[in-house]
Order: sequence, then structure tokens, then C-alpha cells
Amino acid sequence: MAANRRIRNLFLAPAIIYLLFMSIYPLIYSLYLSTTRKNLSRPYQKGFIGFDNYSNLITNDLFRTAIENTIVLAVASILIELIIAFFIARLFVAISDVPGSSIIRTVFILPMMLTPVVSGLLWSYILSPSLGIANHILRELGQAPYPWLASSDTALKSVIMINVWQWSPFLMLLMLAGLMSIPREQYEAAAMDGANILQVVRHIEMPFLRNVVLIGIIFRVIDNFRLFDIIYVTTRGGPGSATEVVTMYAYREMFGFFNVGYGSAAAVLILIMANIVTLVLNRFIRGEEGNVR
Amino acid sequence: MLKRLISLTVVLSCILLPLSLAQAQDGVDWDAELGDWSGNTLKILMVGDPWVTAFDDINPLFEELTGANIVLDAYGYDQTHEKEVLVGTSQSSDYDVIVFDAPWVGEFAEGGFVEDLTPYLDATDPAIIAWDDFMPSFIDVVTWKEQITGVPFGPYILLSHYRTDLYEEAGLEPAETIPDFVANAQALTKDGMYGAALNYQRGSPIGQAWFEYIYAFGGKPFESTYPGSPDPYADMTPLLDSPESIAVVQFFKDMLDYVPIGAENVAWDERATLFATGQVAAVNAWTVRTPGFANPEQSIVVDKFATAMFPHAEGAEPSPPLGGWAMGINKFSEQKDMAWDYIKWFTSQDTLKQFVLAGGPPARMSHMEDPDILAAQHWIPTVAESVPYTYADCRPRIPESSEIITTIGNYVSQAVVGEMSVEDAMKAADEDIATLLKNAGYVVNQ
Amino acid sequence: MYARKRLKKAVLVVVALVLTILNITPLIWTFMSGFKTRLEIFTIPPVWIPKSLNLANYEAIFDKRLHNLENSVAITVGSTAGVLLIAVPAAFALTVFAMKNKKHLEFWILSTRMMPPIAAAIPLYLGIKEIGLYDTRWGVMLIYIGFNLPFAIWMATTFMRQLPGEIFEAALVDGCSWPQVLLRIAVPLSVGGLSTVAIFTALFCWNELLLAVFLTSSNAKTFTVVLTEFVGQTNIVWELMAAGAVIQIVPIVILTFLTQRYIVAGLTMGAVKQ
Repeated sequence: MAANRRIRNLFLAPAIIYLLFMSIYPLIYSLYLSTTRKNLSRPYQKGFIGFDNYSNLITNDLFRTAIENTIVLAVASILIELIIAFFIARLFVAISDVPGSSIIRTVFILPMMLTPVVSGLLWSYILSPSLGIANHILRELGQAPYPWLASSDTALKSVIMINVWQWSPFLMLLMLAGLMSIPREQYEAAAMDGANILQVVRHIEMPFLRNVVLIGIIFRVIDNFRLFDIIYVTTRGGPGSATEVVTMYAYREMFGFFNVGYGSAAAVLILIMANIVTLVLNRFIRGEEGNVR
Repeated sequence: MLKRLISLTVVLSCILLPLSLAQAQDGVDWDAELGDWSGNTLKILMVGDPWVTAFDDINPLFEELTGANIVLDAYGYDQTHEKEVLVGTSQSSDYDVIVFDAPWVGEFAEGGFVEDLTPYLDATDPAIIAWDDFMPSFIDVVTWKEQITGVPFGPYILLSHYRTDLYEEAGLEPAETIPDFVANAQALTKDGMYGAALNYQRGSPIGQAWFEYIYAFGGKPFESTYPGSPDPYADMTPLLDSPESIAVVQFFKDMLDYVPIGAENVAWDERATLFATGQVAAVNAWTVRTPGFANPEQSIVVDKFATAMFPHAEGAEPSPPLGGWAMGINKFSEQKDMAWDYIKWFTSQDTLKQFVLAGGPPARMSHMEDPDILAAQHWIPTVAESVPYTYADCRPRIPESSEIITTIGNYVSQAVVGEMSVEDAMKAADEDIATLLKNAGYVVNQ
Repeated sequence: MYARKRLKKAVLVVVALVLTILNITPLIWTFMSGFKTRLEIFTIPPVWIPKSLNLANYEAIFDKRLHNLENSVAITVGSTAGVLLIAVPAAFALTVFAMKNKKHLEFWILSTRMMPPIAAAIPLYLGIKEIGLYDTRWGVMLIYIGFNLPFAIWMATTFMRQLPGEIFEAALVDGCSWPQVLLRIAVPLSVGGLSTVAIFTALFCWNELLLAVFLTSSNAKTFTVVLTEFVGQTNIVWELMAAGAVIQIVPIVILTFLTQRYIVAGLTMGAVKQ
């Protein structure tokens, strides 16, 4: 038994040590830095300033806008993705016995495999107000050109659109798996009972989808919280502060201004927020699991 | 393939021929002047401005002369700054030559990122350096507290570019003052044509634009920062909520009516592209863009544009914005002698002339009178006309500059898109910058 | 009745086909643009199909950016190997050994995955610099492995739990040591699942941007960072961006088609306990 324990520790140790180093060390270091005025490019500027960085952050309008935008982006993207994913998943379920449908499906999910930088870049080319194909098509259709990423009214919507394009396939795949696991007989029984489509969705499909969807949502919430690549190559947070998100804000402070003290305070706040979100979602899921089982 | 080969030969001979001629004239014996760097790799970190392709043509000559192998990494504007500071703070020897913009001079000097070039200059034949031949205001730019941070090679001046055909048709003259500029833009915005293009992208693009225009509105960014000031950084009280500053931002906002759709995300490249693709009638752009307007591969307005001096405030002296790039040596480079060989070779009169002919902006006063250059680039007289009015500190060169410019840019952008009123935004910017400068130990009176 | 059903299905297939093609139109447009010359890029109205199969953009990238592509490949392969090396034994231990607070340990491991990379950026940058690995492939790999471990361990555990525990016991009775059980039985039996782990790790590494931006400058710069440079504030080169994007996504497209079974399996079994 003791031998077993030693083997177990041996197997686990590298991973645990690695993860401790990856999570505890940055946290402690960030906490320390966040109480200083340290700036990498201005080494003469230092000194302990307590919680000033935090109070400055909390009262900073731009940081608050960044949090709001992050929330709007996450909620809107995920809601739209869920709706699109549900319908497409049902479509693929319906044709799942057609030969070749798996190839169509694989092509459909390509966007989610794509490098996020690439999706940001190719959309910024397509949506370019003057040279882009999107506005050209609009003009051909007799519509007024749309400013897309280049106006404060439309930039966040455009980023959400890119996000939805890339990630709907992910939720679609999860839902597809959930739907495919529903035994045929349940549908047949429902048909015998004369259930309409809404009743089928509500009483047969929803229960099977609930868990998949919840886990999918967790992943998507986390992804949206750390969203950086698309913003970095399309708008850098602008115009105005229309697409400013927490990652971009922290990035600019850290690697644009090299205010590592202030930037670390932002990092710590982001970490706290991410943990709260994760805990809440996790509690939610565990609760749900408890109900199901 | 054959076609490519021919065009390559043509390109090469265009570059090589004048150079060999020039060498014969001036007779700098580069073989004796430069070391043998066979087997060494020289690494250059710079911005990816349009002239970066000229380096691809010119660098092989240095490789041939010295045996060195040159690797050039070019980034976007903000990224270049980020990378260069990271190189400096991490004391990395990865790069030998660092190419930096005017506002970063103080930061790089104070941070100890670049070598003081004074001893190198002293040890080099003055005929090769011809230091006094450089644009005087840009000599001021690269000088920081007795230290020479770099050698000028690409000073930019902001010029007005306008479509001669459209202006003639409408009976307009190029704008001398800002009100003229607005009136012209208004008159020419019709039938799918727009009057102008401006930098509106948040952060450094519009932040720089604010600095480009503040003097033209008769204002100044900080209490002691104005042409002729004995010490531009003596009193750093920001004047961001001054009437002139408010007027600049209001002007940006008003101009939104005369610029094409999607303006709010326009930075340097799109600003120029809009003019080159014939979508706007005028643009105030840095001289780095002008050769592109005259290049048929990138422009459809080749024969249809002319230049004029940047507009100024009514009744005031012109103050065309000055910016652009110098070459310095990375303090932590392990190949400083090779780096210096490269810099003195590249910035020498002959090489720099090839650079100008290949699309670089002129750094030397003699080049502005050079018949070859004048024949090839019709805008050079406007540059020469602007030079006496340029001011080295039109954008501050202190270590905090980059953060100041970007922060101002974020607020101006918020005001322009209507997230905040112009007054509120500039008041908030003023407070932010005042705090930043106070914390950094400057004199700020409020 | 039967005919109507068939017709309905045919309609659905057409709908799926149309939606799918619409969904990847941006990719097709980019693919076409990779062959355009600078002048074609600036043509208004935009041209869909370039006049000739101009390969200059690809040549330019392979000419100058081969080194960065090599970096991306090396870092992806190295990190994936490292992740498997550390995650598989850990997952095995979590599967076969009894442990107090196992649920908590598992949750903690997974929770480290929730950490946004930006939250650790400065300490990681300073730490990597301190140990002399800034701008090296090793430095990037070290960090990438750390960011992939939680998910990899979690997924590998899920797969190993599906193996019948009796096999391990039988092997032990036959005189195998635990490492032998792991290498000779657990790994071969869960090779499908471990492939999934490898695919997802490789995808992460190939696609990652933020960490690569500040962990590298020149020597170890990955291709994703290079891509961002084609569309700068001062110089936008759409034709190179398009060609670069195609180079970046071709391996992904191939991988997706070769391993679609694993991808679906990975997402559904790794992420969903059914």
C-alpha cells in the first residue's frame, strides 16, 4: 500500500508541482507588484503605495467600461451561439443518416478550429469599410454601406458577429452529441402520443441537452473572459472605448505603458472575477447534476 | 519567371547604377572604412513603415561590402515601441540597431536602452557623417541632455496633399489655415468623393493627430512646450482642456462629415490608402506616404496630386509637425562596432540618397537640393519650405511620452465618437496626464 | 409518404449544404485573396477571382518567414509531447489510486485552467526572463505546457476511467509494476482518447497569440505573431495577410478532416460525461 502511495505521488508530483508554479507563483508575484508603482521602462519610478492601484482601478471609467463590454460580449455571443447551434444541430441530426453528411458537418465546424488571430484578420479584411467585400455586397444589393468595426455604434456588434461565427460550431457539436444520444423510441413514443414539435423539444430534447449545454456555456464564458486575439487585430479596443475588454485593458497597461504595478492590480481583479464566475457556474452545474442523478 | 527576372534586373540596376556613380564621385573608400563582418549577423528592429521595402534593396550592398548578414524585424507602430522597450528592459542582445521614433528619445536615453553615440561620432571621419547636413530640428530630436541617441535617417514632416484635378475643377486653393481646410473639405464632399481623411483610430493614431494639430490651432500641449521655449519641459502643466485643445477635438468631430465611412478606425495606413485609391480629395499625411502616392503600383492619383505646407493658425507662423526615425545602437548589443559601421554607412550621403530615391523621406539638407531627387520627387520643395518651421518637441520626448500620447488618444477618441462630451473628455484627460506627470516628478501647477 | 419524407430530407441536405458553404465563404474569400497582387487588392469593386495564380505572396512568406513557421511547428510538437509526458501519469494516478480529497484535487487542477493568461502575464514574463529563456522555444514550451496541463489531465482521466479496472489488477497479479501497467496497458488501450488530448493541446499551441506576443521577440517568434504584423497601424498588406492565413490554417483543415472522429469524441467525452 505504501508502495502504491509512493508510485501515486511520483505520477502526480510533476503535474502538481508544475501547476502550483503556474498558479501560485504568478498570484503571489502579482499581489506584490500590485502594491507598487513599478514601471518597467521607468526603473526610477518605484515605491510601495498600498492599495492605491486598486482604488484607482475601481474608480477608472475605462476599466469599468471594459468590464461592461466583456459582460455584454459574453452574454450576447453565447445567447446567439446557443440559438444558432440548436437549429443547426437539429438540422444535422435530421440528415445524419444521409451518406456524406459527416463531411458537410466537418466543413461546417471549420471556423471553430481556426486560429482566432486568423478569424480576426480575415474578418477585418472582409469588413474593411472601403476595400471590403461586405460593403461591396451591400452596395450591390442597393443598401447603404455599413461601418462594421470602424464605428463606435457597430464595432462591438461586429466583434460579437465574428465571435458567433467562430464559436457556434462548438456549441453545435455539443448539442449534436446530446441530441444523438436520445433513444429513437422516445421520439416514436412522443409521435404516438401526438406531441407537437415544441413538446418534443421541451420534454424530450431539453433534458438530454441540459448538461451538455451547461458545460458548453462554462467553456464559452471562460473563453469570452480571456478574449484578446480578435480585439487585438481588429479594433484594439476602439473606436472610443466601444470594444475595450478587460484583457485588452490589462495588456495595454502591462505591455503598452509597462505599468506593471497598476497592470498587476488589474490582473488580480481579473483573476478574482474569473474565479467568482467559475465558482458560480460550477455550483450551478453541480446543483444540476445533483438534481438529475 | 522570366518576367520576374527581368524586373529584378531592372530594379537592381536602378539601385546599383546611381550608387556606383555616386561612390565614384564622393570616393568614400568603404572597403577601408568598414570592418570585415563575415559570419556575423546584424539584427535591426524597426517600424514597418512603407520604406521598409527599400531596406530589402539597400541592405544587400552592406552585406556585400562587409560580409555581414542582415536580419530586419519590422512591426506596427505600437508593437515597435513595446518590443523595443522589452529589449531594453530585458537587457537583450538580440538586436544591434534600434530604430526609434522622436517621442521615444527621452525614454530610451533615460532608460539606458540605447548607446550614447557621441564617442562613435567623434571617432568617425566628419566627411562621412556630415552631421551639420542633417535637418537641424531633427538633430535636436535625437539629442537628449548632451547625449546623441541616434543618427537621423527618416525625419517626417506633415504635408498637405491635395488632388489638383478636383481642386482646379472646384476653383479651390490648397488650405493655408485650418478654416480653409474645413471649407475645402466641405466643398469637395459630394458625389461619392470625400473632402479629407484623418487619423481617428483610438490610442496613438488619434493621440498623435491631436499633437499634429494643437499648434495649428494656436495652442500648446504643456505650459512650456512651444517653439522657441528655453526648456520645453520646465513646466509640464498640461493644457488639454484649454480652448485651443477643445477646438482641435471639436474639429476632429466636425470633420467626420467630410471623411469616408469607417473613419473611426482609420490609422496611418488607411489615411494614406484612402487618398491613394482616390476616395478623398485631400489628406494631411507624413512625408513617408508621399512616394506611395506617386507610385503607380499603389496609387491611382499619381499625376493628380500636389503638396502644400501644413495649414496653420490664422495670423500665426506655420508649425508643420515633425516626427520620424533615427537609428541607434542597442546598449546591450554585443556587436556595437558592426552596428556603428552599418549606421554610418546607411546614413552617409550616398546611401541615404538611394534610400530617398527608393521612397525614404529626406534627412539631409543637401538632398533637398539634389537634382536627381528633385527630378524624381516633386514634393521635395514643400519639405524644404517646411523645415525651418519644424519644432523638435512638438510631441514631447520625455520618457512618459508614449503613455501620454496614447492616453490622450483614448480620451480624444471617446469624445469624437460621442461617448463623452468634448469638454468632459479633455478635462478627464487633463487630470489623468497631470497625475501621471506629477507622479513622475515634473512641475505641474494646477 | 415515403417519397415525401425523402423529399423533405433532400431539402434539408440542400439547406445544410448552403449554410455550410455560406459559413466558410470568408475562408474561400481569403484563399482567393492570397493569390492577388497589390493592385487587385486595391481594386474597387473587389475582384473575387484573381486574374492569375500569382504565387508571389506565398514565395515572400516562405522566403522570409520560414523560421517563424519552424518555430510554430517545433513549439507545437514539443509542448504536446511535454503535456502528454506529464499529464498521462497524473491522469493514470487519479484513475487507479484511492485518495482522500480526490474530488478537491481534481477540481483544483481544472480550476487552474480557468485562469486567464493575462492574469499571469507579468510574472510569467519576468520569470522566464529571469531564467534566461526569454525569446527561446524552450521558454514558450514551458509556459504552453503549463497552460495545457489542466485540461489534458482532466480529459485523459475521463478516458482512462472508461477502461475496465479489472485489467489493471490482472496485470498486477501477473507481476507487472505500476509503470508497466501504465505503459503497456493503460496507454495502448486509451490511445484514441490520448490522441484527442494531443490534438487539442496541439491546436492550442498552434493558435496561441497573447503569450507568444510577450514571451518572444525575434528568435522564437511564432507564426501567429507574424500574422498580426501584416495588418499594422502603419502598413497593411492584405495580400500577405491572406496568404499567411492560408498557410496558418491549412494544417488545421487537414487535421480536422483526418481526426474529426476524435474531435467530436474529445468534445463529447472529454467535456460531457454521458
